[in-house]
Amino acid sequence: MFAAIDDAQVLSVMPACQRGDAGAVARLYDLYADRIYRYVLARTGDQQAAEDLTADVFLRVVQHVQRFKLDSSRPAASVSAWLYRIAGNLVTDYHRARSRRQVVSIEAETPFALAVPDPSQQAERREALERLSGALEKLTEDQRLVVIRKFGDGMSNAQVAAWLGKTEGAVEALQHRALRTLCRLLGAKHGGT
Amino acid sequence: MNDKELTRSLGNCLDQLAAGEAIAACLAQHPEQAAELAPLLAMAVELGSLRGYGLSEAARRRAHARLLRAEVDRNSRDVTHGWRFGSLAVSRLAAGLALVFACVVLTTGMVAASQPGDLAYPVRTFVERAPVLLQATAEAKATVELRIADRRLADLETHLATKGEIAPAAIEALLAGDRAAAGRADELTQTERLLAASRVAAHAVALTNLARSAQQPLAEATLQAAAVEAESLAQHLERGSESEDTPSPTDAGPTEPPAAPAIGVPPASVTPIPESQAPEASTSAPLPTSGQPTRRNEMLSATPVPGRRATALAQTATAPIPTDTPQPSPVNTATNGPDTPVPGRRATALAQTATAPATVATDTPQPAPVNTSTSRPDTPVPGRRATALAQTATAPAPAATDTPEPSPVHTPAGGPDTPVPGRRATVLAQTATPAAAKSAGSSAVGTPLAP
Repeated sequence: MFAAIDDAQVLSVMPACQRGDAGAVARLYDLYADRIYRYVLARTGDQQAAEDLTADVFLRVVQHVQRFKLDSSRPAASVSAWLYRIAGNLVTDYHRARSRRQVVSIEAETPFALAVPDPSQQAERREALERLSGALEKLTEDQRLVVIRKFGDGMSNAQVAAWLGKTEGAVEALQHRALRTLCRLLGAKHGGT
Repeated sequence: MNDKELTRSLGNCLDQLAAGEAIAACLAQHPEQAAELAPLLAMAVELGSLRGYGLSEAARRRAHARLLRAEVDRNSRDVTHGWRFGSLAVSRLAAGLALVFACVVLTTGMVAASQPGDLAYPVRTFVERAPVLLQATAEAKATVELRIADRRLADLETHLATKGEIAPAAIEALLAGDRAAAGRADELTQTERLLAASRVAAHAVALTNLARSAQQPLAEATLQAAAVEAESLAQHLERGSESEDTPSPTDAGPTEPPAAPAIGVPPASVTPIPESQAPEASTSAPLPTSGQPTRRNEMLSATPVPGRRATALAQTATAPIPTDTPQPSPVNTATNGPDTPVPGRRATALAQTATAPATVATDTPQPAPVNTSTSRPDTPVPGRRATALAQTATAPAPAATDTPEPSPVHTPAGGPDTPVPGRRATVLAQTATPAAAKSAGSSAVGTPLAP
């Protein structure tokens, strides 16, 4: 479980970001980058693309942070929701652009990929990630956010409920339906276990 | 088993997994739901594999570098944008001011160049009256009003010459100026009133001339009516001066006021008048009648050029005067005579005007050239106020010979006791032709003229 980001941390960063403080933007990146990265990775299944898109999310933040209205009653949740909304839009654009062109993955030929000691293990892991991301794309956004934040970031149902502004019961129902959909989509392997 | 129970059991199992328990242990607690919970828990464990992913240090450094560049670019853009915005704001302000200035200039130019018939002409006539408000004295106000009326007259003349039609707006503005000047008659001194009267009368003359040159009957009638009104206003101004100097009945008596001798009826001995006309003198002079017009009316009616001021005066004079009005009593004529005009009557004023200068004409050994010209009333007179006034002042000279000899009572007593007609004539003459007026004034009684 990752440490939750509290309101005080957000309040110490966002005003400086809005004033154009480059260091504050870097601190905001450090706070949220891993969470955004996992969300983007879960939806794209591509580590390199997830890294780039994560950086793009914060570039968007730099561009629009001055117009962002911080919710003083729940600053951390409002900033987090804003970041995930940007990330979701970028992933949607990524998938739309990817569907228009023939993508030839060169990841196996990159030095980073070659540096992995066990290429077969890496390929298997990448394949599982791609299958999972493909299945996650079939979920609704709320279901996706619930499973990613709960299982990817280790948040409790209460935290997810507070973050989404829903009840815990609603979050439990969302995760149940999300898991059942994923099992159906990923079918044979999980159905057999 | 319903979904709610399964959801609750799933939640419990996920909490146990998060606490570190194994899937088998969780399923053991929910044996009746194990078949359904098992794949869900396996999927949850697979999703938990996402926790193992995170950004590499290299990716963080690259992201930091990109963010730093983006932040620097944004700050520089903000500065540029701020400068551009400021520059744009200044430019817009300057453009707006320039536009307003251009509008003001164009509007002012349009208004200033507007002529009768233009949309902006009423604005021009209204704006040009603004200087009246800045004047402090009644004299200055009247002067400005008359100056503005001169402009309207010029507008009217130009419009009539160029387009061949009258401009009612200009006529109305002209008369408005004259009316305004006449309305201040009570606040003006005698000289100022007479000067104003001369200018208003000049307007009447000009309007009459324009009426003559008008092509359309309607235009002629309109201009003629305006001329009549202007002349009436001039007479109002003139009468104002007379009424101011006219002694009250209690003051006017056989005794001679000190100012009266300045311009009065000369002694009878000075003016040889045929005896046969003597009886008519005291009766016909004060009030003109159709059968026996005053000298002024004779002069005016004898003027062959209609449209001149004389014509306008004749028209004005003859209209309201009862033809069979009896003459004033000889006593009144003798004591007050021309000094007691009928209030509001054009005829009396004209009679006074006609009678008084007779003294000047007859007293003058060598009549001025004006006298000579007016001694021939058939000679066309230029339609100028100055000439007309000179004509007015000196015209009775030849008529004096036609005038019956005044009664003995009238002549000696009425002479010095009739300051107004003589003064008016002299001042008007002074205004019109200073040389003639000078000679007339000096020849009358030898008293310097009042300014």
